[in-house]
Amino acid sequence: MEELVLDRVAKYYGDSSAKAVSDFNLNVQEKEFIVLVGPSGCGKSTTLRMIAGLEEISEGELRIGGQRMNDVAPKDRDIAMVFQNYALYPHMTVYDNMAFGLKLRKFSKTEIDERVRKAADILGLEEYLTRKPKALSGGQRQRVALGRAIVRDAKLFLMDEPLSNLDAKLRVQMRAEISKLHQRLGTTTVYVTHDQTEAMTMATRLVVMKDGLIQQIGTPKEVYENPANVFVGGFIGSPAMNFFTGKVAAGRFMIGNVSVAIPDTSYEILKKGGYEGKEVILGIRPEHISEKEEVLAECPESIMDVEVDVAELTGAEMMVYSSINGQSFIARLSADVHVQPRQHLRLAFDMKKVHFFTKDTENRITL
Amino acid sequence: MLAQLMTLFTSMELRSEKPSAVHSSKYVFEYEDRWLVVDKKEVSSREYALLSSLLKEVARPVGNTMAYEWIQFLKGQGDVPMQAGRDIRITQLFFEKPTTPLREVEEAVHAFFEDNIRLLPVSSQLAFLVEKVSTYIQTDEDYLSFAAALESDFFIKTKLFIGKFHQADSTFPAFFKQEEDLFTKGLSLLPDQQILTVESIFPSLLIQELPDHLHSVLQCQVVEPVSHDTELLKTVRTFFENGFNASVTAEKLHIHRNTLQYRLSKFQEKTGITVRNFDGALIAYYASLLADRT
Repeated sequence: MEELVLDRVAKYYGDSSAKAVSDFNLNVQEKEFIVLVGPSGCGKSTTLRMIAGLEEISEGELRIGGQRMNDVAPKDRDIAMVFQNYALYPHMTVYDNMAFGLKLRKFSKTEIDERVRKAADILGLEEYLTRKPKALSGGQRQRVALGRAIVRDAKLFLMDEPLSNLDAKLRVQMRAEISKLHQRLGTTTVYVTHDQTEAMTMATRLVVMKDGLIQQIGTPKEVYENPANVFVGGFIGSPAMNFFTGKVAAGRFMIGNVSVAIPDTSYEILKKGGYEGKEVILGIRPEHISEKEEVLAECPESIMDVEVDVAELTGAEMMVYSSINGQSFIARLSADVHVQPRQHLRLAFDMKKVHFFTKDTENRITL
Repeated sequence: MLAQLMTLFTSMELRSEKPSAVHSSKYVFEYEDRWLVVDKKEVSSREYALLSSLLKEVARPVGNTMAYEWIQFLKGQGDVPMQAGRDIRITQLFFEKPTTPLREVEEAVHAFFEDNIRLLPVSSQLAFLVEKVSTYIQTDEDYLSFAAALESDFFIKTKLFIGKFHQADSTFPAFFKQEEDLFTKGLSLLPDQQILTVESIFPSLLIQELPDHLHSVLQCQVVEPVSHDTELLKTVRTFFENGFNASVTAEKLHIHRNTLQYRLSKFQEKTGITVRNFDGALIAYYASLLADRT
């Protein structure tokens, strides 16, 4: 069943020509974990707040559980929110923080106690119930914030960058905890983040946004493997996809005087699309550029001799920064590769994995 | 009758708006859709009996004495309701939709700030938070967290104007009036910002109040030369807003540092303005605000 539907939803402040969110269409199924991801100012938080009812919807329709919600008061939407800055009361105990929302809704003391203790058990907070937030670590505070949402037993969880205040290590730990929590509770969740790794690891589906517009909706794998445009290719994945602007000519992609062979089937499509002799953008993931002998042997027509600018050993991998005719790129190589700056290296593009994007719209050309 | 009453009771005031908070030392009576407020000490028991039989008395809300005194003080119509001379600041709390009663919000304020901050309900859409200077000064982040707590528990969207500390003396009401006016303007100038301060509103206000000839200087010298490349003004603005930090700016815009350098150079090339020096940054920043408005 569709739990949440956003149908041509838009948001503008005052003048309708400057839209914070435009033509937003999304159908969310029950128990899905949807992640809205994009750079700051892309409209993801505004969208979340429209779902919550904290921002009015300027255009379009919002439905929760099949019911139109545009004019329903936020408190009657059966949602619970979790924020980046925890939104905890410093002078209340953990127990009272979790109980406060229920108290406002006039739940009985027994019911409140039952719900708070159950949430504390789920989140491993039983021993902290009498503490105040300042006596807790960042991760524990965020767990209390989650607890405040869980006790409501809401139909929909809305989370706005809930892990942004945590350090990198704790963030990794907490994102796994949130995923586990979602598996356990099965509550439909809409989660906002600017962190593409968080988005990739947690989402059942991603909604990539830029400038108030949806760029792509899909599973993390779909979005990673088939980005809709240059923006999505560059935003999802770390390090980002490499892009080269060049010309399609006689079955090859020319980056100045360097060229690589385009696989026949792809070239036919490009030719039919009228791209012969024209500039397009080639996108390739860092892991699809290789130094391995077997790849070099497999792709003899896409081997290049490049000079290493920077080589970074990350532990399991070696990140090599280089450029081809002034267009920089990163290759993710095996940690066994020992290279130094200014050293020359033979690398091959796995041309079966590359994408082509039009130069004007920057949209992916379907091959 | 009104004129006679006013002559008889010198402290009597006629108000067109129903008083939101009434001091225990006053009586309030309804009078033809208006309200008469009079000092109790000026009214004898016999006069009170007479007034009550002629006019309908408005019951005084319980527990609002302190709020009333503060609001009178902020209006410049009363003494400082605390030890004079201490520094205070007022954070104005605006509720996007009428919110009543505020009793539960008061509980939230106490749970959040304890005794450091007092909530003064003004109307169903406005309240003031009075903060006395103390060893811990609430940060913008604290107020943002407070606003999030209200959103999460009460589902009410708030906007806050965080005032500046100022001595609580007879000069405070005029100082506060300035902040009230700024907040009113800020609400319409920056509708998507939740936390407002003098410094966040002032640049936009300056652009709004800019005379035409200066408006056209900014337009011709900065906005037009880059009008075909909308990314440039956004880029330089983000650069300023992030303290000229190239790494943070590049991360915020999700571009490579080299792309940022390229855009900053391109901006300089098109406008002749060096954004890395203060004068250049200032004019480019104002131009970006102007471009936003137009």
